[in-house]
Amino acid sequence: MMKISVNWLKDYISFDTPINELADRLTMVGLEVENIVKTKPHFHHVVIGKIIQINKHPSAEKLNICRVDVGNAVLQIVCGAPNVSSGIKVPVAKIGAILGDQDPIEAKSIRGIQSEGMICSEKELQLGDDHSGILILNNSQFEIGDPFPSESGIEDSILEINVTPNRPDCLSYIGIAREVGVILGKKISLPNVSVHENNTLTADHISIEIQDIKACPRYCGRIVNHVRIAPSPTWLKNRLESIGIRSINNVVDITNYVLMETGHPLHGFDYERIQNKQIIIKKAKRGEIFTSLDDEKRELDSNDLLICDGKRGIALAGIMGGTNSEISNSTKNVFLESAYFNPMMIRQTAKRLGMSTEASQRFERGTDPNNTVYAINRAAQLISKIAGGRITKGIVDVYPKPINPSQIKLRLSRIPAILGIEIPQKKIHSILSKLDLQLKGKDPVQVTVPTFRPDLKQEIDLIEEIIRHYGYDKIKSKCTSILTLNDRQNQEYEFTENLRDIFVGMGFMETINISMLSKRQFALLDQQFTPVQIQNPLSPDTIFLRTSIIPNLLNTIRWNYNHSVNHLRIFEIGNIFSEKTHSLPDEHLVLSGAISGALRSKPFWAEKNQKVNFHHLKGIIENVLDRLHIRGSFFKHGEHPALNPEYTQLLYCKNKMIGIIGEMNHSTLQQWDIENDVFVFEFFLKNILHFSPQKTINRSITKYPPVKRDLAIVVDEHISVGSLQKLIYQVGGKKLISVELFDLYRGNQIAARKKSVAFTLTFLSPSRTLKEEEIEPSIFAILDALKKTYSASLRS
Amino acid sequence: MINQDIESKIKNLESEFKKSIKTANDESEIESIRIQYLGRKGSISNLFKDLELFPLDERKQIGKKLNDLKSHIHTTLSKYQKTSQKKETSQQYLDPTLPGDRLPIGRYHPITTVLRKIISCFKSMGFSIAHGPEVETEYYNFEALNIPKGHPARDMQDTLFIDDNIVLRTHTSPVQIRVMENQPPPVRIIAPGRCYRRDTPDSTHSPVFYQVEGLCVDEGITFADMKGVISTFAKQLFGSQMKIRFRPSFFPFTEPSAEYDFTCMICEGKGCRVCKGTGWVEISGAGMVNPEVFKYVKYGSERYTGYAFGMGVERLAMLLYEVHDIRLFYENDVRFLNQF
Repeated sequence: MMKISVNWLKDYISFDTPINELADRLTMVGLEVENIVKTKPHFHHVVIGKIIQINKHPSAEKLNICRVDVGNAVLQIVCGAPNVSSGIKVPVAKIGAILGDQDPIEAKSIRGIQSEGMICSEKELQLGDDHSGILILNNSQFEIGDPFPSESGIEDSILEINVTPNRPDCLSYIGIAREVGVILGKKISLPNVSVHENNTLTADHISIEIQDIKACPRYCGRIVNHVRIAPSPTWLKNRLESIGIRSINNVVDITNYVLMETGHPLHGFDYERIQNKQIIIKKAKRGEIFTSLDDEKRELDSNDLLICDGKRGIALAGIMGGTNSEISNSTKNVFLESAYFNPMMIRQTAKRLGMSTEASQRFERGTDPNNTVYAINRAAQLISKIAGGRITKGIVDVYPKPINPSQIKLRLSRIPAILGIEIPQKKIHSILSKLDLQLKGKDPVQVTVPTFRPDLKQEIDLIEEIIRHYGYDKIKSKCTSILTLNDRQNQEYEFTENLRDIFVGMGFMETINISMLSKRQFALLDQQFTPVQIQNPLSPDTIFLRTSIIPNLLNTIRWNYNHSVNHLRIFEIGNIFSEKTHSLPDEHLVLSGAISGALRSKPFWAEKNQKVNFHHLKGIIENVLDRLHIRGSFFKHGEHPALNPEYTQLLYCKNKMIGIIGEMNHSTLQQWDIENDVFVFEFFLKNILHFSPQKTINRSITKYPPVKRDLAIVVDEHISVGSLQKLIYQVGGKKLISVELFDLYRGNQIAARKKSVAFTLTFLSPSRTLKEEEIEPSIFAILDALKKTYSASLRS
Repeated sequence: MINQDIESKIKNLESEFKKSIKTANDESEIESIRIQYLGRKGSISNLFKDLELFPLDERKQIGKKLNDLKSHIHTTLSKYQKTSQKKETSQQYLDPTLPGDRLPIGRYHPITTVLRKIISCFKSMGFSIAHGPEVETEYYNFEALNIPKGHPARDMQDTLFIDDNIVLRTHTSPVQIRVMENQPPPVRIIAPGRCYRRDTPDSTHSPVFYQVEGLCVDEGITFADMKGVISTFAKQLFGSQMKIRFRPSFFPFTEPSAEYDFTCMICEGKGCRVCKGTGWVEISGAGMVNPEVFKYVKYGSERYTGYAFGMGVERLAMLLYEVHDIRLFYENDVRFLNQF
């Protein structure tokens, strides 16, 4: 985020484009203005007044007695400014007004004449340095009595610009001014830098040695002697503070000011504290402790670049200075650093130490290696002007391998090939040259890219520069009809969506949960999978990628219980994860669901609202299997640490487990504070897909009627209905097409520890009408087998 | 004759039945008549038992008569049963305002609904669906997308790490690379899916979110084609009055890069709080595939050009349904979901 004060920006480019329009146009060239903050100095009890009469003070020659109209009153104010005159409009601080850190304005007698306020100068209002007289306001714009400032032109706008990481050059006023220049078709003016040096040779007073040229390709140093460290002048303070930089002292403020202006970070050292008058740029020793300006002790690594004097580290290169060499109020002589550091190097250290400073942000994106001299001279010039120093002769500039501007070939034919429009050559030339690129030749154009644009590396980057300023909106949408490239439909996708439809159709609410679990939640699950652990989770609740969706569903149930929603049928389709050594984790797409509470979410007056049970869920699953034409699936008793052992069923098809259904056990539910019963399922989508036939083939429907026969038998309590059913199918013959349970009875009418099980058997022949007697042998065989295997007797 | 005897018995039975049914007042009386005649030990059963005494041909003849009577009694009884029921219920007020039986209704999660809209729109424009893993290598998530280690662009997204080389994908862009590695141009795919970032949840950030990435590579593909596709999409999703706006931006894997905006659907471009008075709402990023990316997948960047775009599904859902807090999508509060 770069904060640009419009008033400050006008130092480099003049314009009177309305701020909103400028902001829009910046946004449209890729410098997104996220916010415009209008600022104005805030005053209480300062209003616009008009001087209506002036009389000489009887006992003081330089003072005037002014009568000032402030709208609701006419005040008598004694004023010493030379530029008072009748009829002008001025800012008036009324009684009670507070200016800066002064005491509130009071009514007082000045040499015997009562004064009821103050007519203010620019400086008194802290709007600038001018204290030569009162601030005269442009007559027509101001209404007497209005609070000051109104639309006075004294206010500023701060543009908050989101600068993308490829544009280090735009982290500066000059960089933004350059873009504004291209937008408005205007030239920018850079501050004239001229340095008045004395005769002391800088090189005699400091030596600079770079030990790692890769990490630090260039280092410039300068000395300014005899500075007076003091608070910054108001204008400087105001400028920095308007963009959120705390004012420290004049020298530090100037380095920050130049950083903002040029985009080149500088650092000022107290020259006297540099041991042996030596600067050595080298890698730190592993474990070395360095105390940075923010008073933090930092443990360094052998990859960190350190600015050292003859004895110790004095600055963390490109990131922050050290307390041992910082500029203090007693500093007399300043050593200025202006260097170019390898972006990767700075980034690595800043990241490891968790530090992000104005300097590091620029160095890690890439500053201009050929701008170090301009920046250091600009700072030296301002220091000598503001803090009164003397600049020694020459810069010590260590730059063993100069970095040259790069060359890119631009073929004009590539522009329409990428953009789909033709751009006039003149336009291309004017955009690129206004961006300070040098062009040679016609086609291809040889483009020389200045070193402040490290983002321009290839032809395509130049094409972007051209269209960025030509306007994305000039490209017309092209809507050609497209011949489809689709091959066969994505089977897994279609299948997944089909399943989603089926579940929604069965009254399930779809949920989407985050894919993480806590350690505790994981521990409650069947640990068939090794969980994938996140190294830097936001919280311990999200340390593992989920190995099941069921904990997510319980969270959802809990959440809704808390909001008095108790009857739920929910599901989710999503991935679960399991760790795999030496490769990416396995990702399984699963379908999970849960039902809880009553069967109907809304009561039905004609029927008692039944609570859901295991068999409701089982029925749902059986319906789904039916819908998907999955044949040969069966349930098998299983085990799961979170499920009630009596109701844990694994669903198999052939030899493959495709899912699990069951009732959550109460100890697990207690962990979630859930009181109702919860029934859950989880299926592997791939496995269901595998057994779901891809092709549906129509079979003709038989025209002959089925024959139905009810059969009620009495068996021991422990014999499962499933095994009875299975046996009946086995021995019932080909024509037996269905065996449906229609009644289960235990009670007085039959013996104790017995149950009566009643089935409807349906027989059907595809080729003829079955006669009653034809099914008799089957019935006998069934009864016989039931009797032999399960000691079943026919219920009379 | 025994024969005549049984036939008269049948006739008597029939007339007796007619009399008794006429005097029957309510359902229970009808039921006792049914038992008297049709029960297991009732008159008809008894007569069937007598039938065994007759020779076969007579048995058939009388059997038929008996069966006729049986079915006559049966149908008469059921008719009477119905009328008697009517009599009884007609004394009650039939109240049509009683509520209906509301079996549970299912609903799609709004993210699913929006995803489906997006997918069906791009499918209609000839895009296929591609998927990739949610846990990705650093190579696919960053490097092959021209975001080398140490590049400041890595900071544009806060990443969740499994280890130094494996991350939770921060976008669905790695699917681009996987697809291009596996097939020569032409390519026209969209890749929907979950992404992850290390963002503390707030009203606009969720650590888990959905993205749809699009990629089209062929000979002669230009920025103008990309604009066409995205503006068609905008119109299909939000209506034909939708306009789109492209602004320059930066993504390492596209060049030129753009952010694209839609007309604010809340104020229709007039300017409101949602669009911060600009009349536009930011949707996502897009751009022409950077030739550097083509190098990674060995596509010739002189011959082929292409575009890529992304979109945040939650963002679109929030605009479409005027949802002001992204966290609502992941709380699964039934009261919220019931609205969709």
